[in-house]
Amino acid sequence: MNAWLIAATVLLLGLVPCAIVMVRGSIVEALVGLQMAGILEVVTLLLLAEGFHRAPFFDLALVLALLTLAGTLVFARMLERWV
Amino acid sequence: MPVRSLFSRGWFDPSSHSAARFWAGWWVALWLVWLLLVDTFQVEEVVAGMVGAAVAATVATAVREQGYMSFFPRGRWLLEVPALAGRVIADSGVLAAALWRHVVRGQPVHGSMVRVPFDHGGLGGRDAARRALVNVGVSLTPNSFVIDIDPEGDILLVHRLVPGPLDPVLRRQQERAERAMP
Amino acid sequence: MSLSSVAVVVLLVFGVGVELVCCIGVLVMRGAYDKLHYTGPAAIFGPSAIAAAIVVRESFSQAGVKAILAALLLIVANPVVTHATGRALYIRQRDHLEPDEGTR
Repeated sequence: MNAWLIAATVLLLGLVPCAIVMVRGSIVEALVGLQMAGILEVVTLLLLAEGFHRAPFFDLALVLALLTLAGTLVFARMLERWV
Repeated sequence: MPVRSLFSRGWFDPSSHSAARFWAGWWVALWLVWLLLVDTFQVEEVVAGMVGAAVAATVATAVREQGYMSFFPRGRWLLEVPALAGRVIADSGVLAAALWRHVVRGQPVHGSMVRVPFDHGGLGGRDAARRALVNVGVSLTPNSFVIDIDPEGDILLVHRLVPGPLDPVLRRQQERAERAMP
Repeated sequence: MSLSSVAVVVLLVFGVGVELVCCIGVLVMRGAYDKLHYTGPAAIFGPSAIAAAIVVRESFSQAGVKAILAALLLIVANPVVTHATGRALYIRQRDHLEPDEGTR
């Protein structure tokens, strides 16, 4: 266990408030929770990549950042009128 | 067909020079990003990067030629970045204070919508770039984000969590809109 | 403990701290508009601090460059997503507030 893995574990606690917002909030509040969770997950992957010294995890973080952007935009567009 | 139109215009057509420069700019930038990501100068990686960058640059140029995206920012707009960075830090302090007031002292915190006069401009690339960058610049500062730009009313609808004076980007756009009014 | 190790720990504590405080902000603020504001610092300071820590540790190697790219992507993309989400809520609220023509 090193500082990076400890930081990643602590950061995962931040997913709990995001999950509460997603479950208990309105549908748009849930999207905000999802947006926040996406940011947390990218940062967690960066920490895990450094903690485990696994270079491919950095690529995962980059791809997740791109997909989070695209996915949240699609959800926001759908929520305007169709959901 | 966009690819055929690119090559059928001929070398003496000025618009094909512009497309070639655009393609070359994208190709160089993407190839450099590839080399940064693979962190090696092995021949196979260099060639793979050149080929991949060429494909992506061709797609980007084809999209541009169709007129789907018109985006021509001014270089001097980059001068706004330091002030924007300062504003981001200041606004983060404002948000932290608001959260402290709400959680520790139990004081309610409610955001509000602000209508800022905004010169929407035309459909050209310069105005489109200005609208996009104002949107990103205002939404980057934590205390405010753009909700909508009303082209008919020339209004920028902004949500702010903590009321206060407008940040420099919004103030400048308000002054520009007031100058543009008849 | 070397200076770089101290710098890494400070940056990690700062980055994780900002993220957790922003999560609390998203949880306790009322309404989606108010919650959205707290995604801003989370997307800017958290990833920047973690990327800086990785660069201190790894210098501008492949890992450092990718961490910087991921942080830059979040910084640039989050305002776009925030605007899109706020606009979606505004349109939904307007559709509910304004009666449809023909239903009167």
